[in-house]
Amino acid sequence: MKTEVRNLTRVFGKTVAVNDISFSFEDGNIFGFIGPNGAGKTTTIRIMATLDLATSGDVFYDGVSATLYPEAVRRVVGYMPDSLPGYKDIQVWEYLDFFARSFGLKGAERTRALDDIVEFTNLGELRNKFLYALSKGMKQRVSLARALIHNPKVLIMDEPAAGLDPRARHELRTLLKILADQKKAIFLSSHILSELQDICDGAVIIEQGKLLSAGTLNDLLAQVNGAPIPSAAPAPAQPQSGETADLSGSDAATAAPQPQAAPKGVSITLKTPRGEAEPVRLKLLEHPLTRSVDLFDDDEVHAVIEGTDAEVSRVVGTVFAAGLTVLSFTRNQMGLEELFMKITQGKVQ
Amino acid sequence: MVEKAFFENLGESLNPVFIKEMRQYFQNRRMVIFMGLLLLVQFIVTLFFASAMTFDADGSDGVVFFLLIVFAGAGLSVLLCSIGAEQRFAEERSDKELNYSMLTTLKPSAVIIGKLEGAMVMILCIFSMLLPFLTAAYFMRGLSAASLLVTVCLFPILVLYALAGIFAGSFGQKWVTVLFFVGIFNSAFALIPAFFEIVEDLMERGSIDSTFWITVLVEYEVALLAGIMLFLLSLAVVSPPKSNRLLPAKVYLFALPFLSLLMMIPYYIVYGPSDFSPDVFFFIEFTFCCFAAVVFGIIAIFEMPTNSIRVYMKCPRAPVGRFLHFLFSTGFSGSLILAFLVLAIPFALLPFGDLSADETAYFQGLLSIIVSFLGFVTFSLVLSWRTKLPLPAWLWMIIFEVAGNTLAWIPVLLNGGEISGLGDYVRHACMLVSHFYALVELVDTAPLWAFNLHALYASLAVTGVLFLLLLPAIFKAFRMHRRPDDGAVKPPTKEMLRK
Ligand SMILES: Nc1ncnc2c1ncn2[C@@H]1O[C@H](COP(=O)(O)OP(=O)(O)OP(=O)(O)O)[C@@H](O)[C@H]1O
Ligand SMILES: [Mg+2]
Repeated sequence: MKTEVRNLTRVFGKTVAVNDISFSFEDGNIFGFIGPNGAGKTTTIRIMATLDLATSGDVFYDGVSATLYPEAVRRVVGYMPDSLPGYKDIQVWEYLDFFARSFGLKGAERTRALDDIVEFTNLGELRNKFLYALSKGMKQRVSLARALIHNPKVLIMDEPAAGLDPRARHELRTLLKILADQKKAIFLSSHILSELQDICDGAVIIEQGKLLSAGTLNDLLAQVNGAPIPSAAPAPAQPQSGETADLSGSDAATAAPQPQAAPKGVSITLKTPRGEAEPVRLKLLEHPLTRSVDLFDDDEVHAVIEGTDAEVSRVVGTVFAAGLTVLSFTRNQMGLEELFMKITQGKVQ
Repeated sequence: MVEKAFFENLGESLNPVFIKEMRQYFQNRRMVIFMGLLLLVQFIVTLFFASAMTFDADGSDGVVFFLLIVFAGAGLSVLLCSIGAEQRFAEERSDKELNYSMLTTLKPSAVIIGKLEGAMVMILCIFSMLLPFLTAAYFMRGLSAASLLVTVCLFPILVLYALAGIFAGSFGQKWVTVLFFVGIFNSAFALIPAFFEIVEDLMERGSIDSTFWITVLVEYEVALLAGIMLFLLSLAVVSPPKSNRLLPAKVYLFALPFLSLLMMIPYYIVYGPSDFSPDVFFFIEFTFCCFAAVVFGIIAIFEMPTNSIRVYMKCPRAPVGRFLHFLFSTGFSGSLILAFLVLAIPFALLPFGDLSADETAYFQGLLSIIVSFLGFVTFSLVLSWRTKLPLPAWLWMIIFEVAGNTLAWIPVLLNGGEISGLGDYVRHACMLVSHFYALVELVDTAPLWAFNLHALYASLAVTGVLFLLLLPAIFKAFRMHRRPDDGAVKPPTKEMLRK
């Protein structure tokens, strides 16, 4: 099932929460949805789950419009919000049973679906607890079970990892991988990017309602690690004339903006004593091979340097040669976190 | 084993929302405490009456006791079933993330029916809890078995309250909840004394005559007709926004003046063909047509001018079919035209009304008020359509009503606070700009029949002109109301619709 968000715009009064964004993904993929607070993630996700209507644009599931056929779309989409109501008078299994019935599951089929989902999300011991008596992590599992009860093809999750402890997060990742192996498409927003990086096949990055970048993870990382980083501008240029860039799987390579044959950049981190980072930054900037330098606090310098390993060490050598103190020097593979920081700042270089 | 299979099948065929409601009701601690208290209070009341009982042959202890219990039963059913249903549904519907009517494939009708079934079971529960005590009251004398029976018959009308609660709750919005509470509060004041009156009247008469049965039957019919309307309107609120959500409600509302003819049947049966007065027909038709016109008008000011492709896709291609679809589909043009069409019926009936002058004048007055109301609606629509001010029609309507009601006060204030001294012209002008004042005036004072016809013509002329202003918008909406070329939208595949 191909999920396609096409020119989606949602306006609340004067706020343009989502501004003409387009992207798509397909079965068996886990796609991350990244953006700073208030970027419009929840708004987009709610429209995708037929809980809200777009001001313009639409979401299509195998070409079927979510605006015009919400009932059909609900059969194939499972939505997991970041909250669960704390009803005092309904138990976990009753809650799941209600949703199973609401999706038309009957008799043995429903019992099987319930048993399977309870086992999958490990809710066995919580079956008879009331919803309000659940902890955040438990609620999250019930919420996941609820979203999966009708065996949807597309699972849409709003910050599923928020508030979970490391073990629960690890379990969630495992579950998501299993679901992706079952050929479900998973779309999740998250702030914990290091986690996303491990499981995601691709990502969509938005800021202030605008699409900044979208593509497979490799492509995105290649962009920051090597090719020019797209500024906010290319978003509208991408999906013109109703034809969306297909960002999933093998097609993605052709649709995503191709890195030019520019030499790969190498990302490095230099640790300095407190307050001594700025001179290091200035020194690095002097060198023509330096692509970008950022300060993190006052004791850490992140830089992207163009060229071979030998050239990189030569650039770093200029810092030592200038007599500046460097406590440690690491060469990092640029991850989603850095990608996020760079792209969402918008004004790189 | 057979029994088990039977219950399993029964469980499968029940409405999911109903099952959920039942589980929630009976696991709700507040609910359980409430039921317990109700039983306890009744028990104490019974004990009190039993100890003070005199055992006279004509003792009327039972009457007081009976009234107390009826009062408690009616009051509590209203409170619990309507407010309870409203609160729970509003909470669920306002849940932005987990609104099941927007997350699952449950049909809107299933949601409303499930809610209604839940409320009915609660009414039944309360009622069966009252039953032993009502029986006790009977044995305390002073009551006829028939009066007990009649009171029992009157109870299901309370279902209407539950439906009103479900309708209010379906909006899932605070301001509707507030309006609902005000309405419940006011109507409880009207309902409970009315209940007492019926029962007391019965006690005095000692037997049930035909007039009584007419009252009961008519009450049932009104409850049924109003209940269906509330049901269809709730359905419209819960349906997906781009669907043709108002179609069933509009068709029903249009049929209402014809369905209301059923209400003459009890009169006909009781009076027989010779004594049956056509006034009844005249009265019922008039009331229902005016009511339908007002509801159409209210629907119109809340509607959008244009529809979604989803609505147009179902539009027949033949001209007549297309026009009918345009009339009854969601969209203000259709509602407004229907309002005037429905209103044409009483206008056509007016010359035939074989009534005393006072009553004819009353209906003329009523008509002029409805026409002026539709004038307000039309003007609100014109303004929301034509002006640069981005105010929705309903907001214009509120502005007009507030302004009109304020204006209507001025002559009264100038007259030193007295209404009675005002001239007929002034009173009529007030009636046309202030619909609330008009209703009070119509009910309270003798109709100003000498003048009503003029008021009717005046309001007709003004509303007609306003309607002309809206014609371009209506024509535009009609031109757009056409089935798109096939293939413009991809419908869901069978596989996608499969469970
Ligand atoms: N119902 C609403 N009414 C008005 N404005 C809204 C509404 N919902 C969202 N917004 C606005 O839309 C913008 C995007 O909000 P949204 O909740 O989609 O952000 P988000 O990316 O999910 O943020 P977070 O990471 O904090 O969850 C915000 O500016 C918000 O104020
Ligand atoms: Mg959010």
